[in-house]
Amino acid sequence: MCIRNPLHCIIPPYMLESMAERGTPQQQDYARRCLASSNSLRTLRERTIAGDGSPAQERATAGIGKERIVYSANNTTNLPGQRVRGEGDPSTGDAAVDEAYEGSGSTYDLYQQVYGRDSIDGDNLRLDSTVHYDRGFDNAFWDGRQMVYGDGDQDLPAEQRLFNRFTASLDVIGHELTHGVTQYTANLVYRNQSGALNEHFSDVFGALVKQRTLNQQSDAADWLVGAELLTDNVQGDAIRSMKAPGTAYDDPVLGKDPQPGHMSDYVNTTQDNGGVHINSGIPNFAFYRIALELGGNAWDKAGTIWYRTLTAGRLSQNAEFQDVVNLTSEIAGNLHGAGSAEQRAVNNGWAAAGLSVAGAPVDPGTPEGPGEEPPRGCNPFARLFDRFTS
Amino acid sequence: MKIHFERSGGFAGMTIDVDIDAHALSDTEREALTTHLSNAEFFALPSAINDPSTTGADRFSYRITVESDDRSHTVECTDGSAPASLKPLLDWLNDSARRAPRNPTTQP
Repeated sequence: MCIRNPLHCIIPPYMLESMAERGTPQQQDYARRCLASSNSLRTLRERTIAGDGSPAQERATAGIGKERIVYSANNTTNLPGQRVRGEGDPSTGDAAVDEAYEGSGSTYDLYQQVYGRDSIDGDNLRLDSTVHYDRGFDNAFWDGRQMVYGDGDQDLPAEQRLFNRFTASLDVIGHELTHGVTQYTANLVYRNQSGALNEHFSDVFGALVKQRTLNQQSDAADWLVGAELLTDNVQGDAIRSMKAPGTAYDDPVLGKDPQPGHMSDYVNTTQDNGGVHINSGIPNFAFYRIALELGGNAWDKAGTIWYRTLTAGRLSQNAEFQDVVNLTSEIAGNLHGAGSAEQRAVNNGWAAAGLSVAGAPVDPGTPEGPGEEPPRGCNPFARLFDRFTS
Repeated sequence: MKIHFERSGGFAGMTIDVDIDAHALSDTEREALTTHLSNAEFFALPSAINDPSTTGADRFSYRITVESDDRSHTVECTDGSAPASLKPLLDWLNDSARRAPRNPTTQP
């Protein structure tokens, strides 16, 4: 712990947040220092109770660390908007609010209980979500600090609506939150292949949140992304299919799902930051094939290999597909042995997507431990400072 | 005056676009459009608006081309990098594109 703050802050955090945004310069300064102080104290408290190296379940059982706030933009574009549900608060009856709350909790649990990661930043960053963003907003996004969800086509006549509210699919929530995890780890540049990989990791962990919540093994899962987003007016099952990229929808109005599932069909385009939502189909298909060959729960073996690939500090920000191919195979070899069934499954999955592992043979003698993430700074001030100054 | 508007990206990664001929609009619509263009100072905007402080993912990307008399200008931005003055024009164009019959192919 590297912060000592003598401030005595009696104002509730949600009021401080409001003050930090809309108060006088003096009020803003006070509010920010209070928020930073309470955050550092919380971190200290958690570490004191949990102790270093305590089992993930112990922290989860103690209910420590998971902190969610859901806001409503009330159909404006003001972020974060009005606070409508905080950690431990009961259901509101507003489906979007409650889905954002429950979904971010399920995603937190996957990362914490399976991979031992405490929230987006690995240090229990609070999970902020805003729902009812804008009017007629067919989208969900991660803005660098929080998750944001639109209500779909609620402003159009029922017969013209194509999209439901974007919190309706649990995997969308896992997808958005994972963009935060990526930002704090590999920080893949959101363009061309590195951008498609950024999208891919979000689709993967979004699917794993959904499968774990439904307790589905890999062969029972639908491997669809955003299956609840399209209305009955659309001829389609979902936004994307990891199992069969390019088949999620084929509709007279929306057109046909443009995702390729094989490297030979890679799409070169200037739209969509170089097709980040299009070419993600290629690694998505590989992951599906790998999870299926490994069997059981996809979040266990396949998910662990992918989590370590994302967080090991080995991918550059401009990583391309081949880098992830090589690293996943290497990590599978390290975890399960060179030439193991698991490593073969990884290599086979990539081969099905037209990619093959290159480079030196894997070294079976260097298993990767839990301390492989890039070092984090000890200054909990930093991200609040970023939050209020960016 | 003619406008081509294209929105790509977003979580769904679907591209929608619309072509607008100002002469075909009603007087009220044309007046609204002209006001939005004027308030945005569209022809003075840079062709690519990138805000390095804008991070995140799944934002919409926009490309707007306006042809007016003897000049033509294209602006590219995202809904994270677009200046506030451009938002009313983006909303107006988005609305038009969402309500227009969509191009039956999203394959770029």
